[in-house]
Amino acid sequence: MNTSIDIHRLSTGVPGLDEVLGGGLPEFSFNLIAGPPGCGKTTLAHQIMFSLATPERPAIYFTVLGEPPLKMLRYQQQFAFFDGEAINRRVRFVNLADDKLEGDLHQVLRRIVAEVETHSPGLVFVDSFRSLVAAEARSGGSQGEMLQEFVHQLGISMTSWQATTFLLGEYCSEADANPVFTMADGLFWLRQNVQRNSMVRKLEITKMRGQPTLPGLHTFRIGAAGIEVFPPASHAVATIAGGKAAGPSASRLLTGVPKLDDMLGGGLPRGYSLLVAGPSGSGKSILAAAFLAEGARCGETGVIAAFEQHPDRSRNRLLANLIATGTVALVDSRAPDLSIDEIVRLLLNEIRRLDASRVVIDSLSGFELALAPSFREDFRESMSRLVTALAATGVTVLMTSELEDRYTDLRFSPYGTAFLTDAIIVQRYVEVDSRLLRMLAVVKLRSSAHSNELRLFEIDDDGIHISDRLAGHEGLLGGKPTTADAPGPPATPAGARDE
Amino acid sequence: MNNLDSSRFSAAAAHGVGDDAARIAEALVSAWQQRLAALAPIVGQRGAAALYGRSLALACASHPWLAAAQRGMQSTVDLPALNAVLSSRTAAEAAAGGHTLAQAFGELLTSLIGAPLTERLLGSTTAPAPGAPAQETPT
Repeated sequence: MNTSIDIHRLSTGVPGLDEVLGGGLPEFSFNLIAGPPGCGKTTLAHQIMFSLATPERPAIYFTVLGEPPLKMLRYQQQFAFFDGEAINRRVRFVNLADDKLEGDLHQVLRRIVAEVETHSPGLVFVDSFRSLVAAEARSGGSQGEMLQEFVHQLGISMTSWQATTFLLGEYCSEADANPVFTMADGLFWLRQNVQRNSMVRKLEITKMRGQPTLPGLHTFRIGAAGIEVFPPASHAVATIAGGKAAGPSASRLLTGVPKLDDMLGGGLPRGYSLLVAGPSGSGKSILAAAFLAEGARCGETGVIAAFEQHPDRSRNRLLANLIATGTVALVDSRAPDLSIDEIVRLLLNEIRRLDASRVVIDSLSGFELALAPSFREDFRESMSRLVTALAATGVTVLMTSELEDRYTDLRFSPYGTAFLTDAIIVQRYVEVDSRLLRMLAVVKLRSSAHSNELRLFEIDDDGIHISDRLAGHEGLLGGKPTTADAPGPPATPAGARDE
Repeated sequence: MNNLDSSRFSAAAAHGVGDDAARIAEALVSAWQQRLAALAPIVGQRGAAALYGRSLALACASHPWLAAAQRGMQSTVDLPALNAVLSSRTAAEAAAGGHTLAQAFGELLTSLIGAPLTERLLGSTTAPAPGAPAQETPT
């Protein structure tokens, strides 16, 4: 018989945090929220408090010598989670500065315990306990010992009174005050990673007794709604999208350009990721819009993550209409310093909301620039996580990529990421008779026969129109083809097959 | 009467209902005690004293005699001093000065944390302007 206690886990109300915690916050746990000034400790505590506090499980927020309470109330009410109606009902603020100034730490502890005994809160916050102990140390005590004693006593009292407790403390290094970290059940580290003009916030649960947490640093953002944590992309897929797809199926999606479907052997296999690479202005975004529009025509919904031109601009009326009618969701994150996990979460939320089957990322080049510098350093890994996460949802993905038109070599991807995608279409410019013509080719289509032709195409108000090969020319990939003496090979489809 | 709503008392006093300055002072100080009892646990005694000091300074612009209610920066609110100052004035002066002080306090707190939260913490502290309907209603 299993006699182990069933620990109730509380939902923190902070998007993404419960996943990182491994399923929520253990009730009656004694937690430490640590980090340097300005990292979001007080905001995290308030968001959890307003989410969890109820009339039956009220909260007490003790303020000590840190941020003046009036300023805290002034600024915290800017967040959507702040509920002024809750104050003095399910949320009670208690200032301990006077107790600290008039007495010693024991007086502060007695006051906390007295308030807890009076109001029986289910949640207790002490912000910030470390400033309190530091002040005591300045008056002659041993900071380490006092801190340990204070936290120890507090931990015993709060657990006995069945209060889930959070201590907030300014720490800049995990090497600080180890005894306190030992006593805590849960340890939340908040950090700010600054690189050049970029700042990325990261959260790490270095400890949570009784349950496995998601290891490592997780980016989070503080917005008008409060804090949102972005769990790893792979984990987000499992929880948000439910991993509904086992893999590519035999069915194919039409791209919206009929002759391109022919070149692909009947369309793009469902669940594939397609990279459309080409120089600026070659028509990548127009192809992407056609892909989404064809989906809409077939009754499918889509999502586009736009990092380049704004989709509302008139040149992309087709896409703007799809967005306006709600057939296509726009992930238009202009937020600075994106992380791969954040953009994956944004995409997955929209995919789930619309039950979308087509996703466009326009473009990877813009996406790379939108990422915080610290994430750009390993863009290939980021790309791999993005493609893997999207593939796991079963959607069919079209990504565009800016490709510098260099005529000395044949390249398909600027990032060495060609191996990540199932299919590649390359667009290029070619000079013929003093005219700049466009051409495209299907370079790769995994496990499927496809055309090996270099086909000319034009763009007009109706979109992309693919015509024939440029017969009688050679050296097209060099940008300046010459007239071939002998006629080229016959234009038969299905001339290539990738395994 | 809401004990925190000094404006009503002020209005009543101005209409001669309370013609004894000492009684008016006592009632106003009682309202301040409740106001501070509500606020001090949240912002601390010193935080409340700082707000009171600022309100007093603002009220002194129209009632300079209120300056005698506080000397220098205080870590606590000196309500006996306020009582003494109010009691030394006429009933009408004490009522008007007390009203202005309470109004300044409410407006100060509102400017810092907003009207909804101020009302939540203190109850209605914003005194109506002179001539407002509340002044017409004796209590």
